[in-house]
Amino acid sequence: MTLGTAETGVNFPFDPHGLIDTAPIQSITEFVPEAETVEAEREAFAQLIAEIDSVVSPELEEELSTLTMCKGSKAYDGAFPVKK
Amino acid sequence: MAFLHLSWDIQHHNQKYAYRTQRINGYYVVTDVATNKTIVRLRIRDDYPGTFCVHEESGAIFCGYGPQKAGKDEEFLHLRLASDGSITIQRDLLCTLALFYGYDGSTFTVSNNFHSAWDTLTKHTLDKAALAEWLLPDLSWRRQTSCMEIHTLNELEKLNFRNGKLKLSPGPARTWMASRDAPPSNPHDFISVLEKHADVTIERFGKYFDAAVFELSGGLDSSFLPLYISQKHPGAVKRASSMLLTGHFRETQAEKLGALDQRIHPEWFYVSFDDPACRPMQDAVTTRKFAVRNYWAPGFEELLEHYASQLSAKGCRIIFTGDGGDELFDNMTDIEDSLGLGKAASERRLSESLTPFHTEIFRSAWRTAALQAKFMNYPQLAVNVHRALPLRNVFIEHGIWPISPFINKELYYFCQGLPIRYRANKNIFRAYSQAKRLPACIYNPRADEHPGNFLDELYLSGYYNELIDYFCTHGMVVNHFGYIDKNVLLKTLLGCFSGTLKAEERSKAIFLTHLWLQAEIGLTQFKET
Repeated sequence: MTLGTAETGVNFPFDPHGLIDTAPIQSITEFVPEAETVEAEREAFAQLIAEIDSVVSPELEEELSTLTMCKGSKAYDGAFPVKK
Repeated sequence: MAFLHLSWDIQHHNQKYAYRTQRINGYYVVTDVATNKTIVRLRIRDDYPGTFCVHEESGAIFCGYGPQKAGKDEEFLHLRLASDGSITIQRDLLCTLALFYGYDGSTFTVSNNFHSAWDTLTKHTLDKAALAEWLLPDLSWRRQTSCMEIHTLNELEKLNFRNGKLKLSPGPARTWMASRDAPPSNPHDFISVLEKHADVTIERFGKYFDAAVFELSGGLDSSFLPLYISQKHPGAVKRASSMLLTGHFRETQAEKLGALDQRIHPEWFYVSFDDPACRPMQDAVTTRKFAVRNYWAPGFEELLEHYASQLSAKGCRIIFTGDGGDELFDNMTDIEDSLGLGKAASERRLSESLTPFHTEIFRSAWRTAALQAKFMNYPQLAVNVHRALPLRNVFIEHGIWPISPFINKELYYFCQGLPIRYRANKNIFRAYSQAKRLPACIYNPRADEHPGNFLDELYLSGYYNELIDYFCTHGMVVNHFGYIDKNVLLKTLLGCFSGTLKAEERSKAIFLTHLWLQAEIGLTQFKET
């Protein structure tokens, strides 16, 4: 049994998706965010942490701890924020 | 040409050696004065981490990269060639440069390039355990290569060669073995810890930004640093590069790259996985030219080679990557299993789902390989960080040094100390990204892209059919070792072509066929198996 030779024909055109941006590069300056912005980010983060806490039962936590790799585990199916 | 290559003939080991150092065509070259033989060639590099070659008062040669007196967290490689002919090599924690060493009883060699190490030695014995790993790499990390005379020098290890004898000293032992045993971390500290590491990266490497390119896949890890830098230092990220995926993944990847472009505004460089000039194993397909291969090879070296040469031609000397980002959040339940070593890995391999064409002879060899794996110490960094070495090697040989903010022991230990619910699905990193109002398509993507479908398309086009037929007839794996049943393999591939296999099964069969072909090509270099 052999496979023979099929048409290769894979020759996709290179498509840069029009993403090239030729805008002039700005000089390097440090942008310091306002304190309110930093505070809002930290608050949003704390809320998301609380959300994660709220959806994870001790049983689910136990199940997750036995999985060897956590990325994209079935318990979360890769979505964020986590689902109940 | 290799970044670092040492070749040492032990026939004159009783002599007192005198060395000469020269700068020739961009390399430090160390020769033996008596024989005029070249012993060391090291690429001269002024950009980070910088290489050096010093002739010491004692007559010894001291060369390597990074600081000559390096701190424990610094990136370095030290090689000392003493006047009595002894050679000592000390590695750092990061091991950015792959380093292969070999000894065949008459010649000792050290090189970042497996091919160069191979060519220097006259004896090459197949490591049969490595062959099993070649066909199904699992999660293994070990010092073996496909050649029993060649090994890798790993994290914090010290190698001494004197009078024809090798002595390998391990680095300090890891203090915890499973993620649950890592010192606990407070998730609310995540922002400050992560951003502290980003700030340190900017402080250390900001002066190289003009010569740097940021590798962007569109994923969370590679996007983090350039987005962070762009928020803090608008305009500092000047260049970005990407390897474009194919098929439906190209659409979702383009969405992500477009979102990044809106925030970062870099000059972009692209290569495409479907570039017809860079197909995997194209030399083998078109000319039956079988080059030396090691199972450490990434599988699409042709494209990486093209990518690195393009970036080098554009003046890039540093590439920032997202390497090690996934590994921060891994859950390691058993370190030996994670390393593909020992009884746990062997037991798991007993029940692992293979393809229909992998035989029980293979499974038995694969299980044995886990038990036979040699290692000195458990690595302090995440296992997969070191498996990425061959990918980085391509860039280094083109004068581009890879840097990732995630390959950092302190950050890794902090993340490993987080409760599992924050590490699973990289939830805490996604929460951070959402709180920072980064593009939603980055932290909550529609698709988790990978280059696998490109390989599917290429195989289904028939591009490899003749090569498959050739190795079904001449292949050692099939005909000598009996690890692959060629009739079942061909039947499975015909099922792939006719569409009778489910997409997931088809991709798995194609990927493992690809590994088999790579292994067959690699085996052709061994005179005796």
